Amino acid sequence: MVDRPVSPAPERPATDPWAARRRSLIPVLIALTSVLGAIGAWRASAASGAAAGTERRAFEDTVAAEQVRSQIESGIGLIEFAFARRQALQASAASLRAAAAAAAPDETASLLALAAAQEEAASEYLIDPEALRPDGTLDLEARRDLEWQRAGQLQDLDPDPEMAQAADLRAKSQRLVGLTAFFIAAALFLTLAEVTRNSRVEVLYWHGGAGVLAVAAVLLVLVEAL
Amino acid sequence: MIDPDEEPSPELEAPPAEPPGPPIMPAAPAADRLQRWVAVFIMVVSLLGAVFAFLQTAASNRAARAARRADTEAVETLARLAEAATRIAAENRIWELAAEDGVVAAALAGADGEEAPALVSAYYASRDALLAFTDLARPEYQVAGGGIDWPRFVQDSLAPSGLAAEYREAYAAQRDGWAAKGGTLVVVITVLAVALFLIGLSRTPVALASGVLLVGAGTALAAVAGVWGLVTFARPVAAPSPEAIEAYVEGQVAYFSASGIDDLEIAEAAFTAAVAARPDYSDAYYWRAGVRLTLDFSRPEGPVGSEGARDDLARVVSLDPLNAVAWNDLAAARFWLGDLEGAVGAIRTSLRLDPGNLLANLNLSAFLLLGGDTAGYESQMAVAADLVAGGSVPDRHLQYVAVEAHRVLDVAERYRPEYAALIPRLRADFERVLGVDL
Repeated sequence: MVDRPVSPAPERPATDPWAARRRSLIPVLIALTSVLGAIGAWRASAASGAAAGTERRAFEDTVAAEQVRSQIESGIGLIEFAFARRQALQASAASLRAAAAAAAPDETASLLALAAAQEEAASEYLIDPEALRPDGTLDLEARRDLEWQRAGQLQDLDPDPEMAQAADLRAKSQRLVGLTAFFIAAALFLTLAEVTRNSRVEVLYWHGGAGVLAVAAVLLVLVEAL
Repeated sequence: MIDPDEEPSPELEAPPAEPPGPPIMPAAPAADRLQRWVAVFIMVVSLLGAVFAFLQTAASNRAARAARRADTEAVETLARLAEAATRIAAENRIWELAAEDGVVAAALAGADGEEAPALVSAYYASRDALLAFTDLARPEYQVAGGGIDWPRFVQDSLAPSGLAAEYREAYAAQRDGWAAKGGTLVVVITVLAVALFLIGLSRTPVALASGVLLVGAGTALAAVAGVWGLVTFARPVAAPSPEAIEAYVEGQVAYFSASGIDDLEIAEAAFTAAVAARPDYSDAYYWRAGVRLTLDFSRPEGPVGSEGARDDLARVVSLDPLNAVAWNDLAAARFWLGDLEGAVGAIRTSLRLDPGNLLANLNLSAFLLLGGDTAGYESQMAVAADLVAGGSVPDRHLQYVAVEAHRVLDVAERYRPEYAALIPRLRADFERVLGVDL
């Protein structure tokens, strides 16, 4: 460091009261800038951390939803197969019974026995009543919706709210980081205003620093409030 | 202490023995102007740095968002794949039962016995009941003349998984784009910091002689960094194109389940729509080239070469220069167009990227022989033989290469009379290397 005696700065009139007030305000503004910058950095960090946590929860919801969906589809496939097989056996039995009605007496007994066997086999295929309409036809969509609603009662399966919240938090963090950078710039300008000996340059730095500080402070309040 | 705005002096420290120098004079108007400009530059560069810091954070956030979407699509890809497997198995089970009933009914129809007609009716009733529950019975999967279009059904079932996979890839590319943009903005901020340092340095006593130069250099550097940053920020990062992805998957379904020229033309049109929606869609160019080569091979008069396929593959290797398979296919496309020299160049690039590719080694052998380079051919065949003898080529790949070699040699023998005399030698040497009859 060079530290040498210099003559008083001729361009900084010590008698200008506004200049004196300005100079006395600089440490206050620097302190204010530092505090607001620190708050901005803290809030940005908190928002970023919260966004990461929310994103993790959203991803967990996505995985859980896909697991549930796969399980439901697997169950639906089994119901559809059982119903199809039952319908096939019943159709076959009905056909045999119709044939028996028109058959010779010696054939009737065997056809009816076969039909009864088919009906018994069909009855082994139990269909969940929740997958059936009142008329007995298959309603897989209703069953699918019901299963999904039940699973949704036990765990969060919708990642969209978390995704939206994470996006908001990321945007907030992004704005706060930008504002912190502006606070740093304001602190730099005010420091330069403090050390400069050229009064015109000092005025430039002072106004630049105070202006950036004011705008950044207002924006900080807005970002936090919104 | 250093006063950044005091008039610089050439001396760092005054000699202690000498009397104090004359008091510093008020700044000259020019120097005063420079000081104020320096102050303005410092503020502008600082604010520019703050703006780019904001933009860099924005880019990082978008990269994180795209990464999140890519992860989600990866999960969905696997989930849709599992669902497709379940669906294919379930539909096939019902279809098999129905088919079995049909076969039994048909067998009974020719059997003796008074109960046979009743049983035939019963089995047909069972079959018809089952068919109502399988998608395989839908009209779009019925093939003229009997049977079902199984490949089409499988591809349709896999399409949702394919869609999710393409979205995953597109989001991953978007993530890379934003990450690269964020990285460049970090560099821009660093350059701005250097510019700020240079401008600030100009006001220190040690930099008296070069003060203006430092201000100029710092300002110029800041201007370059500012323009660079703005250009970087303005450069778009492609978002996933639903139109391109849907067209691409439609093309894949049509191509992989193609049973005729019509299907191939549908696939070609779909891939064309995909590249129209996204001009850098490398995979769409690749598969469109595949469709075009297949169409060329389907000509009744034999393949004449496909300029479209060649251009598509050239585009693929320009977008993805490390794709050895695309270079190999480009060589084939050039060969069928009669560009033997271009084919050799492409296949050599393919082999530089993947020296262990047996098909590419054999292709190069063939191109060398057909080009009249007998010594090169023998040397290259020795390389291919060593590859097979070394045991590094899996049996399945060996079979695939044998089938391809058989097909290509047959076509060349039939439709390229200029090479007809050399084909027997090629065939014999390929048989020796592959250990099969071609």
